[in-house]
Amino acid sequence: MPFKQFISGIAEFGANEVLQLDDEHQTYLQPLSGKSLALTLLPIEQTIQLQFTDSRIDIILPTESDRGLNSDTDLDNDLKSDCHLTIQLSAIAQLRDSNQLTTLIKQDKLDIKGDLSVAQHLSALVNGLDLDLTEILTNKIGDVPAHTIMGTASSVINYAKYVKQHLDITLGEALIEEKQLVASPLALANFSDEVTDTRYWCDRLAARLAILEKQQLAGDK
Amino acid sequence: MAENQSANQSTNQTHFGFKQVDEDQKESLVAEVFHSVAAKYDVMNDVMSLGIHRIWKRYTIDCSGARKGHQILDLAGGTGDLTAKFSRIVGPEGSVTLSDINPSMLEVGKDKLRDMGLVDNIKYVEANAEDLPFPDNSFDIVTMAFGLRNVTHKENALASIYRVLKPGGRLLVLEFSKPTSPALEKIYDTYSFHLLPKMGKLVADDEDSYRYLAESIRMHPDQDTLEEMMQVAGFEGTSYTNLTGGIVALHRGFKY
Repeated sequence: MPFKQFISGIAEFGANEVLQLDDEHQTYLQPLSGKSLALTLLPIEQTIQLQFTDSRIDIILPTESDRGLNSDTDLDNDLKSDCHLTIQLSAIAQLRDSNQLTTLIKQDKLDIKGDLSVAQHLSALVNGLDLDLTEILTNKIGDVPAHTIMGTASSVINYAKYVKQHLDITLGEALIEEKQLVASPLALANFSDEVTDTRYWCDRLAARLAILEKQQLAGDK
Repeated sequence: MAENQSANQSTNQTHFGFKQVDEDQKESLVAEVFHSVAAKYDVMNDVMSLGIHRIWKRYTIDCSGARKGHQILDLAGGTGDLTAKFSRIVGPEGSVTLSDINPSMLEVGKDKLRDMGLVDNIKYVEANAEDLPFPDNSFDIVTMAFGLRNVTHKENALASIYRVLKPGGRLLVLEFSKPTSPALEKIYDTYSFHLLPKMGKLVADDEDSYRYLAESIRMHPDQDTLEEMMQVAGFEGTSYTNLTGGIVALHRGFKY
């Protein structure tokens, strides 16, 4: 089974379901309708093409073989997207903020070819979606069950955060204090200071030796 | 397989599933099968393939290189799964022709696509793949998903497709094929000949049609034979990709 197509199918389904949750989604999709945006993720070099209509997004994964016999042609020409973003995977979350685009370009984490407004409209779409989960659930199952579910979910999340924090501390203490497999931050700082001191004394000794050598050479003459 | 076919042709007999029938009978027999399954075709596809047919079709679209302004022919397009997505990709500048020999399938496809709000750039043409009613060099892409095995003279269909493709255009044939592993083949055989007709009976109340579908898959040329047939028809740069262990294969060929 083509695994990438399985993932893109789920992503497309998920993205369109999320869009439907906001009644205003067509307002944000309207300026993107009929446009396409190719997104190449680095370092995995996977290109994803997003095709917009006024009511949904289609996700296409252009394959190497879809370029026919001229596989050495430039991917930009071949995709014929209105906008082509090449971005580091680590910086993808920052794409939500269109003010960050310039910073990302300067840091060589983002390259944009084509119509920049497509990327800006996509950013506006992602930021503009107003997803109030409680309200969405209320419309579907009623006030009280929605409130109960959201309250329970919030408690579960808080408890999970507490457990994680607790585990982090316990695991840290076990590794540092009990098993002594990892150095404590204090021991690490102390070691670092000692290395700095040693380097200082080594540099002084090297300088002194250099002076003595110079003096000996002057004496021999 | 090719020898058998030519022998069959010389006596004007061809296969209909595992049965031998007169060539001029096959078309109406296949039409009967698809007329019978049309209403529940989509549901049965999902049930039979556990939804995997959607991923196979998605892979076909990803490999098509379709883009804005393209003219696409979705041959034997049935209920229009590929057409729906192609219609959104090619936009108002392009067009998609959904073609099927079976009017019942075409009607179901038309209803479905209209319900999805896709009306502007889709044409519906009832046509026989062996003799396509389109001018030469008309389409950038021709796709045929799960249709070629039902065609009586596959070589005629391939030649007809080659004629209507523009130079530089490509053909994609998504079709059931031969599993690459003997173990998978055994499981697949058991599923096709024992479980599938029963599922057909249960969901669509039509055991015979689904038995034919299973049999027709076995009678279809294997991956290499089909690639060779495409080459004989004139296609260049032919290749195929096995999907789900060769249960299905996507064949590609270009017209230059």
